[in-house]
Amino acid sequence: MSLAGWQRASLPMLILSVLESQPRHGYGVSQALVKVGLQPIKGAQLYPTLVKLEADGAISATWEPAASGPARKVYSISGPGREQLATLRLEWERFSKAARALGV
Amino acid sequence: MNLIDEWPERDRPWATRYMVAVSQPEVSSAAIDARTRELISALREADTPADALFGDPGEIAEEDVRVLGTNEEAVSASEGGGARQGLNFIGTALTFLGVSSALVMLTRGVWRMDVELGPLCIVFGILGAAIAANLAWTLFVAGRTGWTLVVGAGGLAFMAGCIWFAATVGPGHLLIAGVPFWVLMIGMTLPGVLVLLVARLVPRRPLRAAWADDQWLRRFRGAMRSQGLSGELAREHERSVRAGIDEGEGGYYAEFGHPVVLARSLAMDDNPAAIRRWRWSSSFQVAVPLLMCVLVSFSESFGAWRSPAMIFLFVSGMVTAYTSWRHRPEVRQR
Repeated sequence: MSLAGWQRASLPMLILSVLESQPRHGYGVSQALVKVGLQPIKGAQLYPTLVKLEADGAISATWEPAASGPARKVYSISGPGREQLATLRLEWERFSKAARALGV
Repeated sequence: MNLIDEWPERDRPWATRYMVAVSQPEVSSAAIDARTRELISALREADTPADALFGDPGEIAEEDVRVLGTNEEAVSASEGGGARQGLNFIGTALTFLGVSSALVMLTRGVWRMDVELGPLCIVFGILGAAIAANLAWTLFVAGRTGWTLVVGAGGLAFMAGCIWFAATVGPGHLLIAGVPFWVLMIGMTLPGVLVLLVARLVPRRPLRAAWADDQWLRRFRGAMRSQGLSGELAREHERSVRAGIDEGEGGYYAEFGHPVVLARSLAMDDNPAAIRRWRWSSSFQVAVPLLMCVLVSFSESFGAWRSPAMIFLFVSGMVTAYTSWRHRPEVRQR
């Protein structure tokens, strides 16, 4: 699987990790992923995932007026989102450990 | 060569159940083909029956649909996915209408019929309205709400015009006397068959990739409503998408892809939209046989077949209602 493929498969965990440190708008989430060496993510993938996380109660969204231009939607992680992130990290760690044991 | 024939003889019943369950609109035939070859190759290596190696075919198919299915394929295969798919849908509906009408004539034992101007106008009116209704549905599925209204209203106006004309000319305007049944049958089934033949000649094209921003937004708005999202939520999504474009670079298509695909991916995870889609489809599937049952009860055309036809239609409606209720989406609290 390509880096983009891994990124797509683990997108909810990556988004929750990015939002754990501070609330961000959609483009900010994508920029944070690029900053750590991942690929920029298009709205076609990012937005439906954000909507799903919001529907699941893992994140919340608020409209904030921008200094210039129209308002921006800012996403923050919620209590259940932190719990979900902890579970996802645990599963990821278990998976990575098993993969490393195979010499991956 | 048929893919089923490539399976070991003993596993063909398993393969048939798997193929039926995995053949969903969101899974492309290429993906099914590749996955099937993988399964066959695993079977040959293991030399074990499919049910022992893979388990229940329904379960493995369900998992494959989840992994292999894409919103792009679902939109592309839908009635609104292109001219070929739309014509297929319209042709199937017209053929069904034509064959049903021919069967009614057959049950009445009508072997010859006088064709009069008035009734012929009404038949044209019904045919025009049926074509318009089916075309309107394909446009609605494609998110073209404006054209849906235009075509729907046009179909109704055409039918009203035909009925008005038939009432104006009145009975007794004989066009052709004693037309044989087989000619009438061909006349009734021909429109649908012709549309299906034309559909086969039209190539299936990939989803459109060139969009002006205002076109993209219009289609996104229409597609969200046709996928069952509420007006309020659709407006919220549109606002978010507009804000996303202000933050990012490039146009709506470059950032968000095909508008109907995005609308579908948003609607698939929305519980109220799923309930709304279920209500629309169940109401239609239950209402059609029940409405036909009522029409048959008032009709003298069926002769001795009237009671069996009514019972069949009523039972079909009830069975559909029961099946649909059993498969209703679960109501989830947000």
